[in-house]
Amino acid sequence: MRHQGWHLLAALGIALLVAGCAAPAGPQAMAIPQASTAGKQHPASVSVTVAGGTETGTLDSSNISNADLRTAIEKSITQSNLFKEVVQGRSGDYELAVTVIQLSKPMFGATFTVDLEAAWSLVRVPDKRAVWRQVIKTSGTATTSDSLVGVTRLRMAVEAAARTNIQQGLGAIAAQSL
Amino acid sequence: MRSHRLGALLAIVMLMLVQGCAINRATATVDPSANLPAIKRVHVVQLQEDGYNVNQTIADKLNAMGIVATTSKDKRTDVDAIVTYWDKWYWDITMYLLELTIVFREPATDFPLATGNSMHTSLTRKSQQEMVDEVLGNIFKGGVK
Repeated sequence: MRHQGWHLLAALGIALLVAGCAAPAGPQAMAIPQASTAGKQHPASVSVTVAGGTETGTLDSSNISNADLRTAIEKSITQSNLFKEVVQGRSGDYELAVTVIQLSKPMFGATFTVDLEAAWSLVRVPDKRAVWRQVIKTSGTATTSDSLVGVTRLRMAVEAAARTNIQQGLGAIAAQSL
Repeated sequence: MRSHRLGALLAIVMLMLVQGCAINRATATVDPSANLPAIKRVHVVQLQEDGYNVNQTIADKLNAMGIVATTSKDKRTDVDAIVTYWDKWYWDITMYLLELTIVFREPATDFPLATGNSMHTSLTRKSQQEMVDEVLGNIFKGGVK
């Protein structure tokens, strides 16, 4: 009887650990497909910087890291040909700065809806002038039909919110005359 | 012997759980186009469901820092910046402020000029006043002029 109690406690502890093993939002899943910026190309190079993101801790829920969001945005720009070239550092014609302001995640539920607010600004490097800036708020939802595992469902909702945010951000840049 | 092994396993699991409970994070980001020293008057917009008067703590701290701060549930555009915030409270023996985010926004466009965030879990919890002090301190790291 006493052994059964230990088994139960050990199983509960392991279950708690497994339940808390969240994965960060992945750059591949946050990137947008090719057709999302209607084929517009600015004849200039761009560098991307991201701030405000958070690493996903061992027992944390899914977050968006700066490095992963930057990779997703760079990949999206490359895939959509929105700029002539994506460069590293600050050697490009433009610098695209994206700051994660708020990532609101639910703790429980069958359907997870995540809200993401990010500040986007595009700065012309030679004169450091902000040519465009906008705050973009998006949501992402994942249901039990997407995944029965809560941590996976939450990660998918975070990725969906980020993907929509990137889509709207790059769509707005595509509409600019640079 | 077997129960000893299970006990050891449980102890390891509990240790890992407790380690995960001590998360400390304090970050701030200022947009390159923002001129924080030029901000002299702000309005703190109170959250609809704020039962802890965090808005007042923020406004009081800003006033102490030499920035004229008002607060209400309404937005104002006749100020240099609008201040919004999110507070996340948790219960562990008592209620405590787990995470606080404060954002300074351009009144006309809502564009975030500066953002600060602090998170301290239960074992390293801070009071509401300490959380506000830390977040605003990180945003204005260069000092208010």
